[in-house]
Amino acid sequence: MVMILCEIGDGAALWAAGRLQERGIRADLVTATALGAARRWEHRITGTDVRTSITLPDGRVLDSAGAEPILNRLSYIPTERLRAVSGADYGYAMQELYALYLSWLAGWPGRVINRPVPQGLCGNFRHPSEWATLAARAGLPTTPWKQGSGDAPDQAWLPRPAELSVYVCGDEVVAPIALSDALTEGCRALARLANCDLLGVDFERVTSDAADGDAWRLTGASPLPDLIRGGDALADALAKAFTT
Amino acid sequence: MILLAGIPSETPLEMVGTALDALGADYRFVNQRHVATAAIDWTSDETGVSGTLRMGDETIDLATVSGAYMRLMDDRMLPELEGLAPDDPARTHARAFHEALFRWSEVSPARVVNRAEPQGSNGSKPYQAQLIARHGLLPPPTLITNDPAAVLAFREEHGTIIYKSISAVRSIVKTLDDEDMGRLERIGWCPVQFQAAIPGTNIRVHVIGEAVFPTWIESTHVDYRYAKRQGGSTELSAHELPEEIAARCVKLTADLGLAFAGIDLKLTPDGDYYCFEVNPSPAFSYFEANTGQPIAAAVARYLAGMDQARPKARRAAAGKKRKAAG
Repeated sequence: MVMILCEIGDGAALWAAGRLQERGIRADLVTATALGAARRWEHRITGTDVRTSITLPDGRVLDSAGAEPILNRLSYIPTERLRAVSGADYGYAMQELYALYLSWLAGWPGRVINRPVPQGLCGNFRHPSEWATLAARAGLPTTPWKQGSGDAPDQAWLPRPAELSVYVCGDEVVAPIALSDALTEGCRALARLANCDLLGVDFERVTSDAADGDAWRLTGASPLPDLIRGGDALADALAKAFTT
Repeated sequence: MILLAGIPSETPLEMVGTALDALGADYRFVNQRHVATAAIDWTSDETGVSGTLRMGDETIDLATVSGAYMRLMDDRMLPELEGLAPDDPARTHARAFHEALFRWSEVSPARVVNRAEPQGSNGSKPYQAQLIARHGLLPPPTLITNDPAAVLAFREEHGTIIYKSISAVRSIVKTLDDEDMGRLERIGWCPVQFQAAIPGTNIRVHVIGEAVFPTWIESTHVDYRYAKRQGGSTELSAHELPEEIAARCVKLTADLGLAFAGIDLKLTPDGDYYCFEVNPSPAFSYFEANTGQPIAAAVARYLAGMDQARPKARRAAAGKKRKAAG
């Protein structure tokens, strides 16, 4: 059974649960709300042995002994138990919980897609400059990133429209069009460099005189892509990732 | 060219500057307090990272920067900006400059001590403990729970136990005493980290590239950093680690993506080395001042790319070998 950790309104998580079940893989949704209200936590580290047991409000127990695979779509720390906390203590409690969730999911013995990192609970939400630099290393055509002391820092985080969304899931590369070998391998290399089992990669079309079709260049990437747009091909890749 | 970014009078930055002088290396301070006359513009594309940094009348080609020591303070707290409104142009410029400089340091091919991304592991002690354990260093037995019964069982198993933050915030170590036991039910609100108390002597190991500087720490208190404040004392002296332990410290530092780290070990009376954490931004000056270990010089050599010529540098740091007190 695959446990899908997600926000309560995460349509992509519901979609993934349905598509995995269609492919014969049981899936159980665990919402951030349920995690945030967990009745009991026990997380142990003894040498290289890491064990976790979490009792949810409805009595379900997530226990590392079961080593269930996890589709991890958590992006925020659930705060259900912190509503009575305010001021500096609230920020402190948030840091504490983030540190705990990070350790729990990093040390979970089953497959986790994606593992958390200090920069994000379901993978690193990198700054566009880092995606541009990593993509160049991966051999992908990339929109140059320019930044200076005359630019507003927050501008960088504004979403940019994608004309082509590609998914890397395990070794599979899923796209709505036929990709060149170079682009396919570049996406795969980017996911490896980003340390992501699941990565959404966005491209924009480059105006080109090339006679051999459209040219694309990367505009961004995310460890938490909208899975629904990946369709059946992505569902197949997810099922394969959780069964091999 | 080497950049030293921060406040030039801050002790670690000043010491590295002095060490670079001794090496005859070419360096510049990126003085945060002069941000009003500083500017940066850079680009990352398929050809690499390029751009310019201007400080006062001087413009530096960022492609010539081979090393950077980043000790930036929060630019919002700079004295030059005190009393200015959040949207004051001076504040806006300072924020944009620091953001652009920081982003450049994260993707630049230069040797950066240290980049921010690999420093993140220190934000979760148990997460970092897992990385530590994979490198053959023992983390203390750890329990994080909101269940008082589990804590009681853990104390029964290990005897004396301590508690401390899971994250890097408010990271003060305390022994769980009778007074704490009386309010143990409060952990129900938020899980707390408990660890077996490990007897022995603290050793702080500064690693810079391949160079290792172990410092032996005799303290009257559980958390030696706060001993003096709490009426106790702490004595520091240079130490020598077994080659195998030193090598693990070097590999751990490198695998975490860090160029420079302060690793907290404890040597038990049984001869075991436990590792508590890896500090990714060590303010080493306290240790150098009390032991004479040439840590700043090693940082300078690393930044200048001169450490490669001395692969056995760790031997230069040798001190005494000792056994932990029982």
